[in-house]
Amino acid sequence: MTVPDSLAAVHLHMGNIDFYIPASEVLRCSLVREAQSEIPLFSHWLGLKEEPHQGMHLHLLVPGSNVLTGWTLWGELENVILAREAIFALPPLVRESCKIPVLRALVNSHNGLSPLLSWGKKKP
Amino acid sequence: MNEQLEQMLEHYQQGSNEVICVDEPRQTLVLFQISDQRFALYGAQVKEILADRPVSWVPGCAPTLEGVISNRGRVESVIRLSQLLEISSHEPAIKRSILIGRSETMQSGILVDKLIDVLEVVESQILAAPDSLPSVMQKIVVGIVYISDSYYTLLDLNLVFNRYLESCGYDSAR
Repeated sequence: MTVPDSLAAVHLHMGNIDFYIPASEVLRCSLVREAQSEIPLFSHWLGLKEEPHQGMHLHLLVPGSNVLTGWTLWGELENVILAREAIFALPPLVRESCKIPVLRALVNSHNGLSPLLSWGKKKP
Repeated sequence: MNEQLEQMLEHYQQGSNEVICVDEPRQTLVLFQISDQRFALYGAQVKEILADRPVSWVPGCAPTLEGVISNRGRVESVIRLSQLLEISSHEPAIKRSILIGRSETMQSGILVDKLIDVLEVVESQILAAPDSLPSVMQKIVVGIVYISDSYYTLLDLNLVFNRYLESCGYDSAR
């Protein structure tokens, strides 16, 4: 099996946190036209404090998450191509203790190391 | 004949027959400080010593995890030993270091307030840990070493990492 050289991803910048999600897992990320209270905040779903209302108000849909409504978030978004060398497996202590099961890897960028979230199936 | 002199000479002769063992096993120790407390790790369990550097925060992890760093093409976790040992810091450390520690099963960075020294001691200098240690310390302390007028608490990294996972609610037996 050949290892891909890169991964297309969506880069989310929320407050002072950066996240990456494989682009193939994101169905849509659109501007929120009208706030709907039944759509959960992405930050709360991750167990984090709510991000400051800066940047764009976005509606993120990731079908693999089984969160049918998707989430809303405040921040910036861009499509990026991550080189294979920029993606790192989680260190054992993080892998064994992190309470966010979709945290699958770390991305090394100019902002330091940032979480890469994936709802794809883990290999046993 | 001077009896006193004879006794002295006899004493020296007996003394010269004593064999001094110079091959006592030695251990390299890495000495460091957290807040005002002094600790040691076995040198064999410390792979590298790094100067303090920015640590990236990771969401969803225990407060005992400072974050992650990139070092020589690897990503290392960095744990706060002060939190694990329940030591409250009075002042922010000026010159922190990150020790890259390696246990039998895993590797991680360990944030310490100050690196003191790396030196060799004879094994007999390492004394058993006293029973009076706080319960949180009893799980990871393997001895006490007296060096240059100070006592250092000797920690075992296998036990430190197990304690970290235990504090996160991880069942190491699974």
